Amino acid sequence: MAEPGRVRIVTDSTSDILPEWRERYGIETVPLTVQFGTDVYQDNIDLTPEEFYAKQEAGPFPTTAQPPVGAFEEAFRRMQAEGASGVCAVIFSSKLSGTYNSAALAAKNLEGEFPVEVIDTLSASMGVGYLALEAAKLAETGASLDAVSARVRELMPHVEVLFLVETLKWLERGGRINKAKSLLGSVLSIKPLLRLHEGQLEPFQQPRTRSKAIEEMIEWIKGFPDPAGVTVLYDGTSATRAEAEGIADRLGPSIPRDRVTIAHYGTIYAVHLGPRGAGAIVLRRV
Amino acid sequence: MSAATRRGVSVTRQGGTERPGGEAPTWAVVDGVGLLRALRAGTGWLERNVAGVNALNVFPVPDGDTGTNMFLTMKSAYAAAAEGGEGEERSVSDVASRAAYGALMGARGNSGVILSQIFRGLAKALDGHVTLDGALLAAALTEASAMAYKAVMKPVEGTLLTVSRGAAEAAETAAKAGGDVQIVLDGALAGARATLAKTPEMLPLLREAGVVDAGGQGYVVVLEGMRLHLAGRSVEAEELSAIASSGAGMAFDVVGMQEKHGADDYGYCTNYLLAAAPGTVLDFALIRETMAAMGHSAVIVGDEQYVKAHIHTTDPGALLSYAVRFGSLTQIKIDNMDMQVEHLEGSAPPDVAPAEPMGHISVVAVAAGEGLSAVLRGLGAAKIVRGGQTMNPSTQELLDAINHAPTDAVILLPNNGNVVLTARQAAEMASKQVRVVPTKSIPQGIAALSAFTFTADLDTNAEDMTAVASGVRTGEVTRAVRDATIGGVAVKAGAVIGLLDDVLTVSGDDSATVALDLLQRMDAEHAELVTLYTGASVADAAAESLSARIGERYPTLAVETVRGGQPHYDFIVSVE
Repeated sequence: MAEPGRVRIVTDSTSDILPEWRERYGIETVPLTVQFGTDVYQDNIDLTPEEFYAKQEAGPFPTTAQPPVGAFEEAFRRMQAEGASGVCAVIFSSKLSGTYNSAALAAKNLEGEFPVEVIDTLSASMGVGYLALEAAKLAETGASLDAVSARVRELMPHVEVLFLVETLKWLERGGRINKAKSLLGSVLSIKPLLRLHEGQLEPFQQPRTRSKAIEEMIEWIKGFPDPAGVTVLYDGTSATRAEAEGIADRLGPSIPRDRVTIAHYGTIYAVHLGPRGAGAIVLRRV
Repeated sequence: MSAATRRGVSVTRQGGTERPGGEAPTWAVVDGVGLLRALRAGTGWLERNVAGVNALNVFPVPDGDTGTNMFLTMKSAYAAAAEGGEGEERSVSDVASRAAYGALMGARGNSGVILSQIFRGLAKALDGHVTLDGALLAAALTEASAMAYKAVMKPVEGTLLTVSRGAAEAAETAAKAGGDVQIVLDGALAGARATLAKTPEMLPLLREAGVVDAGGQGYVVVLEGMRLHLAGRSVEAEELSAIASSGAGMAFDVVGMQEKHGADDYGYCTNYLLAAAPGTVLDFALIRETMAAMGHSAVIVGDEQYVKAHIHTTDPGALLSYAVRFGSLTQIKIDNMDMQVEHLEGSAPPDVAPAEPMGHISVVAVAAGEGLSAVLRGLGAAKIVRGGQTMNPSTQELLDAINHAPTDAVILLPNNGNVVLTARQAAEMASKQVRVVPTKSIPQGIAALSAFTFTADLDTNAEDMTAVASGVRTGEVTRAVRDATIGGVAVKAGAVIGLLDDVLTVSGDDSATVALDLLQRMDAEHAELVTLYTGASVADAAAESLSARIGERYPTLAVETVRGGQPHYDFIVSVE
């Protein structure tokens, strides 16, 4: 738990941040929700990945919802109550979700009472996670809210995110790939790689097989010299965990194994990627 | 200006001297109009011999279209040269330079590109000259050959290149002896023929296939046509050149002649070979005229013994009834084009092609068949140039597509070994930044496209795509158009054959078995994905059945079947 008087970090559940980082730095995570019909589940809390995929396969098609403004407000007030000097909220790309909007409104509600800086990271998954982690590390040194926020903004352009899409069928229904729509026209089956650029998903490559896609993903990661952090993202099921470990192993020796984090994407991504998606996030050396 | 040019056009045109005992005028010197007419004769003669040249394909596949490609290139050269008219003031320089431009824009296939380089060489040598004498002709043929060699990165002997050099060397010898245009051309023709005869000794593949080089043969035919003209003979009236009648069945390959049918075609596409009844001769001109009147889009070639017909008609029965009066009919093939068109329109995948380029780069790809075009568009190709195995696109067609592409940076995928040179030529001529990724097959093109990186620059993409494409193996299943033994594989005309990376590898009775055999040779056992592109003539049930058989034999393999709609090739397969 962070010491009183320090800046605290709030993020949302799409940051895929590791539980141990949350605990170590006292980072607060506000969950988005996923909805099957009228059943509402909190992202990463109420359903295990296996449970989620089983429901997804059975239908109906799930929808996602940004956290209510109140959830952020509550989180900010809790930080205040715990003695924080301010909150830096490190949030999912506003071009993919209304989460930023909720957080920004919540901050507005606290205007004059408690300082909150909400940052639209234009990033996703561990891209947001790394920014939250770096912010927390700086906050722990006693840095001001301005300094912490500046640090996040400084690092934002150095976060790279790539997703491997096993099947386009979920993304097609979810409609989150405006800038990669052309991929849906493929007559052939493809395992597209999408990269996050200026907050949106864009096509990167269109490999035909999963193994080719993974090769390309590894090449992509290795293309960043001496990264500060690398995360290999998998779907959260035990079936693909080994594959993610294998990717991590193959990044060496140029990227030491202990610098590679294995994480799984949450249910919000799972709605659009389905099972067997994968990803890579690189925090470049600044 | 040289002394020769100052002699004036009228003098040189009258300058043909009667040879002792000969009726036809001979030509000491030729002016622009003389050269133009010689070109027309060379073109016309090649047109009449197209089927014969096409038949000289090393592999007995139904896309031996060297003759067609060279003819279309010649036609384009002549048409451009003819635009200058037949005024007496025309210089050989003007005729040659316009012809060179026409050949360049109209070049199809590798042989067409080499031919266009020959024209470029001619134009360079004739630049500034009003008339042509023997010495200048020899020099021009030498320059032409040198230019042709430059068109090819790794020149191979035993091809059109060698034949052009043989022609040039013999022409120089004749010119040194003081020969006039006609004598020098005689020399060139003799040299070309002698070299052509030796091409099987230079290229083992030709020897094995029992053919001379098709491009070289095409060049000989062109020189022959020009020579016939200078001798005062009409190429329309002559017997077909030796190759066309010696090839027997080869010269009349049914499949190779078939054209691509567009949406405007209707009725029945009717093909057959008419052989004269024993002891009779055919009145080819009359038969051609009559048959052509019975339909549209007619392509009819032949002589006194054979007539090969390709006609679109609403009443195929009437055509057959007419033809059978003169002899026996074989190689009969009738397709309902209305059904084909409906089939395609009804089932082609929706065209959801991206209107926008792939980032800052557009990809232009060559493909035949609606299905294959849709596959390439689906992977982001901005422009598809129709063509490939049966009809190689011209430089001009590729250039148009490049110019219409939405970006200044363009990657060109020829998707056929015989389109690569044309693509390079188009790339050189384009004012945009164009890189050719030399894909030799559709699977290579698709692999290249799937390796396209949206964030990378033009050169990086071209390099990566080239590397990926060159590692892709392609299997193709088609039918032999003649008997052949290549690389120990003996096939009969009509047999199903399998080519692995353009090399005849297996043959069999049915296309599914041959496809399976190819897959085994492509090491499908250790692969992840097989993609099967089915041809226009393959029924869905047959495609599904093959797909199921592949699934049984390789249970861990994913099999994807796509209706490619390509002509002539029942199956194109890739393994990755």
